Parts: sequence; structure tokens; C-alpha cells
Amino acid sequence: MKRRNFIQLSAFAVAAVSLPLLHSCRPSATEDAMSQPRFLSRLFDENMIRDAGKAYLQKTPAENDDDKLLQLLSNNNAIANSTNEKAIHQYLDEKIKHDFETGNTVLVKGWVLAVTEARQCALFSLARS
Amino acid sequence: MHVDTRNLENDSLIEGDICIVGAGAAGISMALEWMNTRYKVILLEGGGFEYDEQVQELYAGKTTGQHYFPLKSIRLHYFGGTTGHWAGWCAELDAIDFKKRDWIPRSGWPITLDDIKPFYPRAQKYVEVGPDDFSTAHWQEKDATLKPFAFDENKVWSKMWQFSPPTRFGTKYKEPIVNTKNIHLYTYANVVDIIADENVSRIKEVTIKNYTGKQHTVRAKYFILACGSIQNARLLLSASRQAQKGLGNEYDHVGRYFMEHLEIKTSSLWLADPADVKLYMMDFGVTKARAELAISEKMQTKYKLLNGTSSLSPLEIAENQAAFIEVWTDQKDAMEKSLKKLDKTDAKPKHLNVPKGFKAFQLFTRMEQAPHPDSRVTLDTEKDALGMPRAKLNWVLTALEKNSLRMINTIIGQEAGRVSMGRVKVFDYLQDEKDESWPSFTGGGWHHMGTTRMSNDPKEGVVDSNCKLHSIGNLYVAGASCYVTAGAVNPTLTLISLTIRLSDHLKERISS
Repeated sequence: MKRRNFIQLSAFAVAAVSLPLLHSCRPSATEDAMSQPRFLSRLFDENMIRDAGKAYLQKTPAENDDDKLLQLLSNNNAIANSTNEKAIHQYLDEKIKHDFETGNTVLVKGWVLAVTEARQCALFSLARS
Repeated sequence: MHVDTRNLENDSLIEGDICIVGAGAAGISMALEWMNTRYKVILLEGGGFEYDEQVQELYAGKTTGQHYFPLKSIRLHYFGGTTGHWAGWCAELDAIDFKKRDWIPRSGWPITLDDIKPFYPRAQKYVEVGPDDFSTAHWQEKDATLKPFAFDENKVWSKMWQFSPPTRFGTKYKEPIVNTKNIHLYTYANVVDIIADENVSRIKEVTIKNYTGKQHTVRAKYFILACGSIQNARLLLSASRQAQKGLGNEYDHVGRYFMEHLEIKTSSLWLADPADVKLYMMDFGVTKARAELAISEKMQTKYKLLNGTSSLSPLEIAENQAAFIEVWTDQKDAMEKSLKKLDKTDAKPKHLNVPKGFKAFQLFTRMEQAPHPDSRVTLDTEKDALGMPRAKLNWVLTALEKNSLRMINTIIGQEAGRVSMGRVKVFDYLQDEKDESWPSFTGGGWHHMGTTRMSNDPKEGVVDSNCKLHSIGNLYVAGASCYVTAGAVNPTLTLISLTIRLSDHLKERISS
């Protein structure tokens, strides 16, 4: 298994993820941040995140839409319109923690993932497919 | 006192107050409890003091259902019994193990953990572990570097195990038993028949046999079967001259509800940073105590799970270890070699190898299975060299076991995620909820339980809460065959505790 960290907010990664999301009316920084599962990126490389995203979407085809995923990730919260990456990450980190705490998890290719981070992977996979 | 029955005159009569059939962990513990009392105790052992292929062969039998180990090689047929290849793992059952759980058919003991608790310290002495404190706090006081994961204990807690040297009962207790006047050890004394009175309400005598062709009779006031779950059932079922279905088998429970602990690799835990895992590591022969990740009663109830715990091993190491069930055989040479290897392991240099810097671990889960009537010991038509029908084991696992394994590892994964420690990846064979098949490496811990289950109602089990056969006034069963459910942990410590409890009961009864 490749274990290099790949995301760490590198300019390349941000650009790569951003481009396909430009059609959205949301600020691109929001979408960039939303599609980066921060903790998971310490364990997964880019391919693994994309594969996990695809596998999640196969399980939940109703979410196979980036707008839908962004909506689910933001929960219609004001965070959806924020450009503050730090605040977005903090919001998502809390959401992931809450998912794990409440058992809101999903098995994706065997990984026990918070539904939130699985959606982040899905968003990433749509952006990079 | 020791007598080799091969040297007795044929058709000898042996008489005593109590007769213990089987000199393994349960039988020897029982005998030790009666040392230096005014009662004459007869302890019968089918083998001698050393491994004997001819005697071991009496344990051979067929298996059907879920793939299982060869019956011949998973128990040892000599003085000391299966403690001869015991790994020495000791832990106490949990309170939930005794409770009726709606999601586990036929769960619920007629006794509680509180009934067993007082006997654990006495059992610990026999297996050389202690003190009687299985809290992480106690072991942290001894070694501050033992740190539990920061999990929510209402979900996943660190259950402590203590490790026996391991005590080889055959070596450790040979001299005390042989040198005690009121204990009469008879070796090469295989029970081949149990004879009751006319009403089949009391046992009069048992018949013992050995390879020389000699046969003897043993009479006592009380008889205790202590031969392990497979052999206990075999003896009761084959005693069918006076009771067609076998002794104590009026309601067709003898031999049923055979249980094992599933012991199987289930998932991997990937950490973002190396963690302090010393509390969870184990070096055979070195570590005195360690923890495994256990699921709380609350979570077991919420998700309708069987009880289980998971241990951690560095993934790089664990991935190169074959499952026992894939390599274990009953070939003569292999058995002798493995026993010699165990002796060497006992004597290896003592050093604790705590892995540093590992970020990936294999979770290996040991878990009870639900009691199932079709998981059972029956008699084969084929007979052994002494004329006893061989045992036949049908091992049955269900979807409940598989679902529980999946959820136990999922819950651990949820906690690892919640505290941002890492993520868990459940192994392939557990991922599909609809898949009820089992992989080739599915094995047990050689923990045989449940073939003479305990119950208050004679219609629901074989023995009562004192381990006496419901239908027979002076026949008791010692050991894990009395278990109603298996609990998560290895049975030895509890079966010895249960035996000591039975011993106290018998002492009271015999003196009244």
C-alpha cells in the first residue's frame, strides 16, 4: 500500500481539485476544502481516496452529484458560503468526529469511514474522474 | 499414591469416596482441593505421565460442518491433560456473559458472575497468576508505561489478561498428587462404561480399561466427569445400556451446544502516528499481563452482538503468520514435535519485545459463538481400540457470529476514528453483510464448551447449577462442558473456578 501523504494543501492539489468544480456558484475555496479529507489523507494516497469515493458512490448512487454532496457536507450550514478554509476544515473535523461518535459510519472497501469523510472522498473522485 | 492399572490384577475392585474421571485442569484442580482430607479420592487418568501415541489415538474422531481441527490432536490424553499444550491465557468472564440476552438464543446461565467471583483467586493460584486484579489501573501502577487508548470505555474498553507461565499441570502437580495419602491416582484407567442403579438415579460404578486388555471396576459415593467437553459427552452418550439415549440425556441435550471461541484475524488498524501500544503487546513467556480491546455491555446490547475482544499485532509480523487451523495436523511426528517445541518455548530467554514505530496493526478477534443445538458431539459407529464409540463433532457457525465480528471491528474503528488515532479496515470476508461463508483460516482456540450445559430446568440442560446431572443423584460434571455460553475469554480460569465451586459443594454434601 502506498502511504505517502499527498494532499497537505499543496498548490497542485488545490488546483487539481478546484478546476472541475468551477461550474458551481459556491466559492471554489469552499469546494476545495470540502473535498479534502484531511485526516484520511495522512493514511491514503490520491488513488485510494478516489477509489474510496467511487466505491462510496456505488453504494449510494443517490449522492452521485457534486452539488448534492456539497449540500450534504455543509448541511445547509452557513459554512457552505464561507471562504475560510480553516473554518471549513474545523467544521468538517467536528462533523467527522460526531459521525464516529454516533456510529454514522460506512464500510467503504472495508474501511470504517465517517459518512462525512466518505462523501469528501466521493466529491474528490467526481472532481478527478 | 499412584497405581498404574496395567500392573493391577485383572478385574480388580477399586473403592473410594469420590471418583474423579480425568486428570486435566479440572480433574487435578478438584483433586488438589481434596488433598489431606479424610476422604479417599480416586483420580482416574486414561494415559500415563508421558505422551503415548496409543492412548492419544483414543481421542481420534470425525468432524463435519464448519472445518475443524483433527479431534485427536487438539486435546492431550495424559496426566495434566490439555494443559500440556496450553498457552496460559487467563481472564475473567464478564457479567453480561451470564445474562439472558434476547438476541442470543439459549443464553442465560442459572448463576451469575457473583457466584463465580469468589473462586477466581483460588483458581489463580493453581495456574500461577495474580493478584486477583484485572483492572488496567492496577497494572499501570506496576508499570506506568502501560497506557490504554483514549477510547470511550462505555464503548470500547481495555480488558486485561494475565498469563500463566503456563502451568503444565502434569509437571507441576505430579509430585503433590502422587505423594498425598488420600489421593489415589490411577493411570492407564480409561472409563469405558458407567453403570447406574436399577432406577438409573445413582451411579454405582465405572468400568476402566487399558491396552493390556485388563478391566477393573471403580466404586465411589460420588463421581465427577472431568474429561473435557468432547469426552464428557462421549462418556455419557455411550453409557446407553440402562438409558437408551445415554445418561442424563432424557431431553436430548447431551453433546449439543458445543461451542468454541472463534479466533480469527478480522481487520487492520492504521495509525496516523505511532502510538504507545505496550499495554496491548504480548511476548509469550515474558508478558505477565496485557489488554485487548473489548466491547462494552452497552454496545453489545445496542448492536445485538456476541462478546469478543481484539488483540493487536504489528501487521508486518502478523501477515506472515499462518492460521493454526491451516497448519495443525494430527500426524504423530508433528504432534510430538509441537510438544517439544512448546517445552523449548517455555525455556526461552526472557525479554519483552515492544514494537516501536509501527503504524499498522492486525486486529485478531476472539469471540464466543452462540449455543446452537446442531453444533454437537455425537457417537460414531466406529469404535476405538477399547471398544468405545468414537466421538463425532459437527461444528456449526451462524450469521450472528459473522455479523458480530464485523460490528466489533467496526465499533473499534469508530473509536479509533473519533479520537483521530487512525482508521480500521475490515478484512474482505467480513465486508459483505449478506455473505455467510467463512474463510479457510477460520479457527477456534481449542476451547471446547457446552456439551453438558447448565440449567435450572431439566428440560433445558444436562446439569444443575451445582454441576450435578439433573437426573442422577451422585454424578457431577467438572469443566467447560457445563458452560451455557462461552464468553469472550479463554475458558481455563473459569472452568477451574467452577470446579472449585463444585468441590466446595461436594464437601458440604458429603459431610452432611
